[in-house]
Amino acid sequence: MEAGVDQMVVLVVEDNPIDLQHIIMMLRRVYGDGCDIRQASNSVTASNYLGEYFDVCLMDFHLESVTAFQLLSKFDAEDLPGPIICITSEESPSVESKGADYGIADFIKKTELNDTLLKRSIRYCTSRHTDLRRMSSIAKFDGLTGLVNRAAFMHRLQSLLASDVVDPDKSYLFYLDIDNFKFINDAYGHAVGDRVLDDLARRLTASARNTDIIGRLGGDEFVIAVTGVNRNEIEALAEKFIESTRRKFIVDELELAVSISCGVVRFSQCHTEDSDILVMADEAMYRAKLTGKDKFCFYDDSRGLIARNRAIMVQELRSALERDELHLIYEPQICLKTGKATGAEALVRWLHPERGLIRPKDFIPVAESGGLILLLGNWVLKTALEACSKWQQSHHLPEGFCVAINVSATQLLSPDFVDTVKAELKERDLPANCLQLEITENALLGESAVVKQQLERAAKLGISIAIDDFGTGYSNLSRIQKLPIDTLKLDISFVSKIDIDPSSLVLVQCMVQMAHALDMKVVAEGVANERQVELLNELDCELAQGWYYEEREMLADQFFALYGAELEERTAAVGLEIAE
Amino acid sequence: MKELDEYAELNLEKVDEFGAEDFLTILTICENHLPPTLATFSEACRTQNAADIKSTAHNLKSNVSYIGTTGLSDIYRTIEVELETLSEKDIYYLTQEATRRTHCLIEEVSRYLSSVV
Repeated sequence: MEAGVDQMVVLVVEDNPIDLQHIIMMLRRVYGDGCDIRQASNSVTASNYLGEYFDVCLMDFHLESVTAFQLLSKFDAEDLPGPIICITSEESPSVESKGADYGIADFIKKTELNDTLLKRSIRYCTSRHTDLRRMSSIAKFDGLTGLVNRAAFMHRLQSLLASDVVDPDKSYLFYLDIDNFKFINDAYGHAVGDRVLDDLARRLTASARNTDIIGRLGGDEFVIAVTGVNRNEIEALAEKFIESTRRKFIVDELELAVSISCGVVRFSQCHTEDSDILVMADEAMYRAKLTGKDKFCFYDDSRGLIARNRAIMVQELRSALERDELHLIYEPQICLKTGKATGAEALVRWLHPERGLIRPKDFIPVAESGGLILLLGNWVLKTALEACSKWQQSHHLPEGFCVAINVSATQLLSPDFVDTVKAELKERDLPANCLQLEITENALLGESAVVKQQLERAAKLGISIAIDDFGTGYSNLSRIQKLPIDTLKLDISFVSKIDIDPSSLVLVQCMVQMAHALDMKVVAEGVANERQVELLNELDCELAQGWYYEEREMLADQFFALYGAELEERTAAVGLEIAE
Repeated sequence: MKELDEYAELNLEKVDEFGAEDFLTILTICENHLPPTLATFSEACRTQNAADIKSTAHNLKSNVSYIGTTGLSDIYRTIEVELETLSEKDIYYLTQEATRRTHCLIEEVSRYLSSVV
């Protein structure tokens, strides 16, 4: 109640003076001075009053040439402050049945109206409307930050996009995502993460104008729709949002440095029917992350097709995981001294029903950005271990036989990653040393404490850890030394040239020596000819893999059809060669 | 009983429902607004304008129900709802009857207000 103390604001929409007086007198009899009556006798005044505060609205069905339905169609019933009770002489039963569609809470016939009926209806409808508003609030607002949630934001955004009065050349969507937010949750717990999100929401709200719509899409993703901004102002606005996060976030005793990456799309860039402005903004934000984080990027029109394809691919990949369109192929790892297989690297392939075979380099980045990498990583882990388990049951794998899988930075940062690996091994009764986790140098770059902890836990279980594509990333050698890494995999770009380029040979030699000095085994990737094998042998490189050993991509069964007998033989010899 | 007998259309039992003061207020409003509405209704009947007949009957139905006897409000309701299905003779009879009784009601309202003042 906003009028006086304990005064109920009643809006009476009625154009017939006798009916109006009848209702007013009735309200006075029922509530005395307890109600503040506002009258609207035409549709314009009624529209204005409906946009203001009231506790209940008593509305005639016919107002001049306008019906209550036409009048109410401009409003969302849940947004109205109070319920609408239609007091009418309308005889058509269909009017009453359609009333709920327009948010009319009750109908009372004018000829049947009396004090008791009116009082009961107002009490019932206001109570029901309060419940409706509460439920609507839960449905529309984010419980943590109080910002509008994804569904409500999208609803408002669509209205802005469809509006004739919004200039699409002066309206923008900002898509903001906290950089490395997962680290905060993992390192300090979700309670701290939630406080950061709440604080960020307040900072963004303070940086925005009252007319801007700010929403939280979920997780650490925020969106802001702004209208009426000139192009020359937009960079300053984006910078203002980013700047708002640069002041440290204080959570109890903690001082946290947080940054955000931001993608910006102008409404007028979303000009085709199938354009998805959110995907476009996300694509721009993703580019801001890729190009250094803590910055903003504008959506590049020329990347529209790329963004659309990427969005489609995310959906297809999700389906592919469900429909079994992915498979693993196995590349044998050969002991250079004996020429025999000591393990295999499992590599994921996607056989798309229409586009044929899709390589990991084309869909792994999509899985990363589309939030599917954990799902995909788990699938690879399970499938590789399942194959290993089958081989174990049918061929009794020799001691030390190891299947290697590639692990992403996202997986390493997942707090339950090692527990998942452990559980999957246990479920299949496999020893931990039959699994090798391959990580790239770049995966080691972020959140060193978390990564180190995860790798140490895995190594403690007996799982082998290998650095993949060594020499191509940005490793800090002193950090590698501190991590429980037992294998270095030399990148194909060096190995493939050792027989033709002396400097590549020197580099490989240095890397092998360094690995040995750090007590690591060395696997040469991409070995393609006999000369390379000879040179690697001379350099004391232990293992090799590549086309020289197997030209085709082998599925699990094919791998064992080829290597099964040999492995069985070695199992019988109790791993003599493995010891080498 | 003498007073009640003097008023054929005005429902004096409504005094209890409204209270004396409110009853006078609503009668005053009716005295001002019923005549033009009735004139519109009569003109619509004369020109056989069905839409206007229905819309004014719709208004008069509720207006007279506050102060008049139920029978009069019911006639307006019948005219509003059944205008398309009634015979011309019935429409004529009902509209004439409604007009006559509303005139009577208006006169009684004026008389009552004069007597009270």
